[in-house]
Amino acid sequence: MSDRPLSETFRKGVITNNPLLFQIVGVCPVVAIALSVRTALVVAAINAVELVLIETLACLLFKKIKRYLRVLIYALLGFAVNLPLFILIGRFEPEISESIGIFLPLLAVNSVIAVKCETFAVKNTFKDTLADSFATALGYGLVTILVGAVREVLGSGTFLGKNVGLPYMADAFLMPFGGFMVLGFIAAVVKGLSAKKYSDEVNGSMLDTSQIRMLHIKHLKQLIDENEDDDIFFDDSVLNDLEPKKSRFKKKQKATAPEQTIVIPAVTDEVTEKPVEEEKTTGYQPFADLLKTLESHEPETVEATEPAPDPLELNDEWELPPQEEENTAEEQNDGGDGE
Amino acid sequence: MATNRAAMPQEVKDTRKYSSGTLLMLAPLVVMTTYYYGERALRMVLLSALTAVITEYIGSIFVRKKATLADFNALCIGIMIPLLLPASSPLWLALVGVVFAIAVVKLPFGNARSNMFEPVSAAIAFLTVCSKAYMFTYPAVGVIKASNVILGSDFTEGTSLASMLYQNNSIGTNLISMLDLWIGSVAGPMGATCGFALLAILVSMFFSRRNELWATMSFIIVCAVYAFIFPRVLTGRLVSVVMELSAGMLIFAAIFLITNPAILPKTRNGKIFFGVFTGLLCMLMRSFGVYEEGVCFAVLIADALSEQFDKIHLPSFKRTAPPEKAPLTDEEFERITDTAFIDVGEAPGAGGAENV
Repeated sequence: MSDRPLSETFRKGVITNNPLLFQIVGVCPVVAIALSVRTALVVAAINAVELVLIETLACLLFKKIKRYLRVLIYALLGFAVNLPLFILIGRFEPEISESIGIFLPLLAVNSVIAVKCETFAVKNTFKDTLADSFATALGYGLVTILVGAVREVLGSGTFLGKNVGLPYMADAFLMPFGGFMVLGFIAAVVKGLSAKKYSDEVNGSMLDTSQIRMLHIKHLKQLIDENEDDDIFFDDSVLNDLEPKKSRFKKKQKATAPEQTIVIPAVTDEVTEKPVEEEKTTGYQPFADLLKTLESHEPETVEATEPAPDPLELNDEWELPPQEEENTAEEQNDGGDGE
Repeated sequence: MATNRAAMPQEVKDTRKYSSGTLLMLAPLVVMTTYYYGERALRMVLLSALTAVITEYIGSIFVRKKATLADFNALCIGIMIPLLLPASSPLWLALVGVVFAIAVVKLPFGNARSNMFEPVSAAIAFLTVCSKAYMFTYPAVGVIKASNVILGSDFTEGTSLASMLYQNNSIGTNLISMLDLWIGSVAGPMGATCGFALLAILVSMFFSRRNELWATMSFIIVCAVYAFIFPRVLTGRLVSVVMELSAGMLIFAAIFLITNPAILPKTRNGKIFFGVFTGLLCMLMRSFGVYEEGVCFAVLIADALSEQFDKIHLPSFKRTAPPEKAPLTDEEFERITDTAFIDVGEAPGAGGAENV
């Protein structure tokens, strides 16, 4: 609960913790509704109102409530905020309301609200939460409007309803997959621009698709280990693809390693004062080094001493026994561990 | 150090070898395209290839990767895309497709050896969604002229096999002879109609690409079986099989798109199941989809599941017990868990340290 500077909060909300570009939440309304700048403005405005109101309420009132109940309350509050907005938009902008359709009421349960409330609002102060809600709303809104503008220009050939005069319009951008593509490229550009300056924040919150490839490699290596005798690959060149350049995956130690000869240094017998014959052992001995270390450092033999007197046992003269126990304990600590 | 800089990496060498084989296999298709559709078609192919190379070079700068023009993969993409378009399509359509394939699909998500989606399939799917009219309006063979485009006054539209099947047109199938199918004298994608050339390429795969042939043959067999069981025309099941395999870009996709090493599963079983899944999906899309040709969409869906096919194991009947699995080390387990979850945000404070 530290008091972060306002600039840092806004920077995180707009750039490095942007819910659309880095956290990948609340994507559905953007790809489904943001087909033009006007509809994107509607989405951004409704989301901003809901986010600010619900996040501040969560910070003020919901910290003591159980988590599963909080999520339900967010949904109820979302409906409570969304319903009057839905009626207002239907009255003043019926065309937009009709074009957006069912997705406008669905904004009430936008996942951005639940995510921000659970990860930030209930764990921070009111001032930080208010700043974060405004920052997140601003970041979400900016990206939504940008996506809407790109899709309107490339898909419809217009900008704010006015013809731009493009020779070719791709209808694909008006479809959800076009929205995902535009969003993905915007995220890539923003990440590329902010990676150097805010590398710690950016790298921690991005999904790295190369990890999917590494998982596949790992599964294939497991397949190799499990099926040593089966011919599951056609040629060995496939195995070259499975070896990453930096040799990140080391070959697992098999249980049956090749035999190795271990020579234990000569030890003179105490009785005959003759060197004991060297023992040669074969077979896999994983702890050979440890054995050698243990044999060369034999534990010191401790001479038997008289047991310490029981402090509770009193002598005939009803005198307390001398306090020797503490001294012997100190001597043992000094001579035993040596640490 | 100076000699090491000039040495080509092994990956690029391997990809170059594979791409050279692909270019050799595409050569007869380009020749037949030029024969039927004139020098305009050849010009389209060459310009697309050049655009692909330029796009790869410029795109590599933006994604901060080293341009691997020497592996000839961009050339293959640049040649394949116009071969799947109608001869009457405008030149910019092929160029848009090429730029999309390389700048949007190939470079941001991988390289020639490892990618999430097959670039040519993605480009054709994109063009199909954006320009359905251009993509499925074919000129009559032999009538096309060098400057004839879809909006030209002397344009003569031909009827493709795919459109006949899509409309359940059984009468039209009687007007096409088997010889026309074999020599490619039917309306359709420029480089996907000549049966002889495609068959010759298939035979060559027995010698040069036997590994990939499992996916190709399983795809073709599943499509043939589906066409036999569920014919879309009433002229007989065998005719249905021949028509379905000859229509559209099915065989072309079986040879070139499915076998792309960037998306093909690595194991034998994976390749077979990949081909089966893609074939089934392709025929279902042809039967129930919005477009008359759905093989590119089927390839894209199968690409998304490509790595899962490697996990399919057929039961083993060997008497020896399977080897014991070595336990995962801590480092590998941490690596797996780090890759498996997306960190939505840290959870400081005393309220509860749980991520959403």
